[in-house]
Amino acid sequence: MTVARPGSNELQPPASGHDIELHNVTLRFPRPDGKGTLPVYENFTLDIERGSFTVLLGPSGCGKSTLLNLIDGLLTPTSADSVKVLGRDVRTDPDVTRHTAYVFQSARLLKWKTLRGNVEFGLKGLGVQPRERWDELMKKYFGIVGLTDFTKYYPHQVSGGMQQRAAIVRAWVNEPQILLMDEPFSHLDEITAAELRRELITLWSRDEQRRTVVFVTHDISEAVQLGSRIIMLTPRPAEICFEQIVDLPWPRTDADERSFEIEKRLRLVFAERAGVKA
Amino acid sequence: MTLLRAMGPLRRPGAGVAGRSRLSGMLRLGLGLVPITVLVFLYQQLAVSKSRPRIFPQVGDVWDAFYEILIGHGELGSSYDQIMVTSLRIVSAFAISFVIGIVIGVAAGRNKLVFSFVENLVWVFMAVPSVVWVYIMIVGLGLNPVVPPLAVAATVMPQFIVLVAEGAKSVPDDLGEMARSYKTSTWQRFTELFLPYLVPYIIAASRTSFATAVKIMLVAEVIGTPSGIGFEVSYWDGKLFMGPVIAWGITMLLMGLLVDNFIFSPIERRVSGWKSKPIDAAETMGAVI
Repeated sequence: MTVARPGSNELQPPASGHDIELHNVTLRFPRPDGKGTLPVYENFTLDIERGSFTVLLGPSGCGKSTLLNLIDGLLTPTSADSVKVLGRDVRTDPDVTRHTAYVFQSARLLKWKTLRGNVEFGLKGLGVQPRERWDELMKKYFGIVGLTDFTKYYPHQVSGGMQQRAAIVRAWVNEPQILLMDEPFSHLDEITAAELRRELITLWSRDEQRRTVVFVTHDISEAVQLGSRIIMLTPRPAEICFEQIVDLPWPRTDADERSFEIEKRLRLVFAERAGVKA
Repeated sequence: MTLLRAMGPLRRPGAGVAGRSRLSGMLRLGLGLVPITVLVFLYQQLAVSKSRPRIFPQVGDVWDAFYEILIGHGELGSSYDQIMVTSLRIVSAFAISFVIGIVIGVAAGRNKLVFSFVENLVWVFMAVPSVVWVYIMIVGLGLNPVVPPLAVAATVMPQFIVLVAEGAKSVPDDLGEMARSYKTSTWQRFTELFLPYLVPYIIAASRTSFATAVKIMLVAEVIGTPSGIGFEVSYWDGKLFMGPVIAWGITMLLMGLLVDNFIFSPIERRVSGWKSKPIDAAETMGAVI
């Protein structure tokens, strides 16, 4: 199995310039009581351009994580005109999601494998070749997140923050074009979360080849700190109710007046539009 | 003790702190011996007071009978032949329930249809006493040497299935989703996620099943065969000699202990070695992160 590595010709941005194209996506889940269906998305359309750090902001349970699962091909929509990643539809061409990597809310590490073993689990799954590259890749990314001395430890031996760092290594190590992150810092204490946010932005912004990040959160200040584009979603069925381009340099802090202004505005809109529908 | 250990990976409080755990280990061993010593002592008093050495053999008489077993003597042929025959039966009963237990257990744990299909069957098998299996099988197969292992397997298998099914059912969905997200093959998911997750359940099931198999095999042999430890027991019981009966019971107990300590324990330590790794990294790094 040969897999094109990011950076190879195959991965030129699609003509549209959008790494992710969701057009008229409808997704309905059967209700738990078996009566009818629960609409999560109705004719939802969203394009995400290459190299953007897009934050999906919305109330809990509005289907933000579901959207990432659709993009990663873990879920199939009820109907859709297109669910395209890098110009290829994930429904007919699931292999394209090898170029996406997923960081989950909890680290989801295999507790019987060392941190290194967990990262290798991902590399093996994605079929990264040649195998000799693994060491070099792992060395690089474990180094970047400061885990070099901990690769032989088991998840239960390290802190929650370090587990999440290892999960980030597992996702980044293959240098995927698209990174899907589902509230990756929400389980961590604020100090650790702030540090990881800073690291993530550094990691992302210093990469020569800009990767596309789709980051899900319900935390407005996190959204403003990270996103180049913030998309606000309403409760189910989720719709885009507000969009904000944040054209500020990183790293951003709350002390920065402009980001504070944006955050304030978003809070107002959030309370007004993304509240629970009657 | 075998059974207690088999109940599952009970973690001792304080395990991991080397010095303390060794001390408490010795203490535990000592405490464990107290009730047994008291029991033996009380029995000895009873035996002396009754002064009927065949029905109430004194501790010394039991030891003599046990010594005969140890050196291989026996009125019915070498005691080691009997031990061999019984061991072989236990091992085959265990092997049958191990293989079928894992296959059905995994299938039932992963598939609701299979679960509903076998659920009641498992309960039926659980409820039928091993003695009944022996009689049923003797009627069907005659006094066949395969009867004891089959009857024991039939008795032991349900608990094996239930434990393995519980394990298979509890494999977290989020790990499966993670694995699919990383495009792992079915084989990789099975060998690196599913199986390692299941191993502790399989070991727990193996230990309980083996301990039960040892106990039940004796019953099955007493009823259904002209050989093995069970046959010895029924022979000496028929002659109203209780010393050898108790000595053979002790022999079986030791067999069970040996297998648990020298086969299951090392396997468990090996496959769950990661659990015993000290949690020092988190503590030292806590201040940094």
